[in-house]
Amino acid sequence: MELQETLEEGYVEILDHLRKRSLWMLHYCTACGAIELPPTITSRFDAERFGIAPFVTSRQSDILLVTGYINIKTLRRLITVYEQMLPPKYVIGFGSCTINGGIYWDSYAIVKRLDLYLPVDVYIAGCMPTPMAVLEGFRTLMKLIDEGKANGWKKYQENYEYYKENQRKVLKW
Amino acid sequence: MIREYELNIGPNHPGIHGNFQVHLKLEGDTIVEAKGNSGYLHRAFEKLMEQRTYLQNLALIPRVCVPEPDINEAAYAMAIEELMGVEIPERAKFIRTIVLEAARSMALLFHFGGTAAMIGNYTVNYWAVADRDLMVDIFLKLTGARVYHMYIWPGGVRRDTYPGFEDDVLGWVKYMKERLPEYDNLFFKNPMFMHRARGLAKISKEEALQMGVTGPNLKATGVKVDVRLDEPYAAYPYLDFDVPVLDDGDAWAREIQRRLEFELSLNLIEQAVKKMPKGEVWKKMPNPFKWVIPEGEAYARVESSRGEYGYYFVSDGTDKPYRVAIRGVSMPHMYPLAEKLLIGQKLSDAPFILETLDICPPEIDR
Amino acid sequence: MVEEIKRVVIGEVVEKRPQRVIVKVEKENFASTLNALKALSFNRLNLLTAIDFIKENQFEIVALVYSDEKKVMSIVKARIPRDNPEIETLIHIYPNAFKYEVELGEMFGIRVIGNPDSMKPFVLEGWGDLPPLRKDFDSIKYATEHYESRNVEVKYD
Repeated sequence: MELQETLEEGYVEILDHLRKRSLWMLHYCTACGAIELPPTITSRFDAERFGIAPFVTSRQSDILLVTGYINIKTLRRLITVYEQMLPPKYVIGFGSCTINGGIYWDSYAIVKRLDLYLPVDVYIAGCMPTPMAVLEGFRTLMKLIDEGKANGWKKYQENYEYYKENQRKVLKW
Repeated sequence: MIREYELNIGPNHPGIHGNFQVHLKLEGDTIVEAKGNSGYLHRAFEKLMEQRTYLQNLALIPRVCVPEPDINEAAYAMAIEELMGVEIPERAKFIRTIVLEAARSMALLFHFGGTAAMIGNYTVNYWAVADRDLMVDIFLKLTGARVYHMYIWPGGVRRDTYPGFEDDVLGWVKYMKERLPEYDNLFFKNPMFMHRARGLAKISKEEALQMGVTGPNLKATGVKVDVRLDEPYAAYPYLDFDVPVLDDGDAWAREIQRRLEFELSLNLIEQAVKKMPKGEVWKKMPNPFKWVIPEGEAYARVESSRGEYGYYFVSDGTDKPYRVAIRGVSMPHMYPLAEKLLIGQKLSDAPFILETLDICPPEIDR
Repeated sequence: MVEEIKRVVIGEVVEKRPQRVIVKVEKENFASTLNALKALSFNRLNLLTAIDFIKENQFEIVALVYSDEKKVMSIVKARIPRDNPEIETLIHIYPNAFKYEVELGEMFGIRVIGNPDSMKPFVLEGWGDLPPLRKDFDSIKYATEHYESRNVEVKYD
């Protein structure tokens, strides 16, 4: 039994080392921050040398990038898109509006904390973050995957009732 | 047997310029009905502006239109200057003109990249975003930020230009003029583009005038209407130019119209840099932390890269605005016009038609 | 231009500065004034919005129309009572007024007679409270009650 467990853990570790160099990002431009994504992906601040490329469907991507403020109408669709992705999957919060509401703190249509509704692995601060800050955020995510600490999707499965209760309260489902 | 079904060009789509939804009803491959659904980017700007003072609002307004933020600052500053009766110094007028024309050419480059990707020509996206980034570097040195500048203030501009600014700007203009023939060979004279875009989604002159369309969409149908000629602001009375107009009204004419306006922008930047006088750049407003604007109302308008953009201001004499209403350019382009143009077209042409109309969703939702 | 407008309009006409003319009319003449202005070459409706004057218990409907030929913009205003507000539609004069009238119903609660989509949702989804742009709706109170924020203490060291 012990030998089998050690072999399984070693198998997962090797997969993590390989997986971190081929993460595909879902191309869903949620809000403001999407204007700094084309410079990051194209030839000047090339993100493809790390293996990160944009892809169109949610069923075949690994990273959900929430770029900017979160409106209530968008949050309903974001949760559906997140549940369509297959594990292992990672969420990156982009910009200071996902951390504590940002400049729209007194608006009646903007949600202030993203991590009550979806499990977030990495936050990138700034308004807007420059492309170099975005690349630094991607590298932090790659380091966390390497050490086995990027477990947002496991937290979502274990605390499913907690997340669903928060979503029901604010979205009136 | 033709089957009827419904599809969404929905929020999660790589082929739209932002975050909005168009709900389609189809019969086979042909579109029968199209209905728009907005609200995914609504932040309630008009309510937030009433809760902040005039000075605090300067940080909030560039975020209304994301690809081209300087038009918001210019319209806000012009409305306050009209209410207070202030005339800005000459050098500030020329600096405002250079900043606005540079922002217009950056937004047009971003637009060309997105539109060409709709018919499969991905190289234009790589070239255009990289060329736009060289101008973003000049803005970084001038104002301190890449995207949201907060540089144009009521009374002039925030600070003077750095030594070497004129050489940098003229160097970029010369580089873009040498690159334009390469863009022509890649996209504008490409037989694939002509084959797909000629005769597609035609708008007639009467229809466009009736529906409130402005900007390149209207000039491509043969009507010469431009805020820079009708009600000149900033340094446009001193510059010598004329606006191009085409006759066809289809998707091909709209793209060629934008390419001609891009060339006109480069010429205007050159003229403004050569004629710029020396002097001060900001006329001091009294009591800097609590500006109190006299009672009244004003409507200030500028010509953005999409059309006529305006701010309607009502002030009641206190230190916060009473009501600000924003005239977004893309509201008439989406609601009567796009819903009518899509009927009868094929499904694979639908994202391309929406991109040639240049709809910017944050201006509709505000 | 001001003289020609004064001949066809029943109301107060003031020229604020070159290219801006303000016209104040009664509520019953609003649609017919815009009809008369359209015949005088004011061909485009730029904006249709409203202002809430809560102290005088009135709304003010504002329409901005522009003439491409004469290059003059005219600001037409009318006051309506704040309880049970109603106004006639403009879609047979200017077709692009359709969505502006839907927005008036959602943001202010003004019913537009003759518009099939009046009072239906446009940008909000599932909204049950007061219409948001009225002056008695408190947006800060709504945001602090419904959306939790992160309680952090900022330490400077």
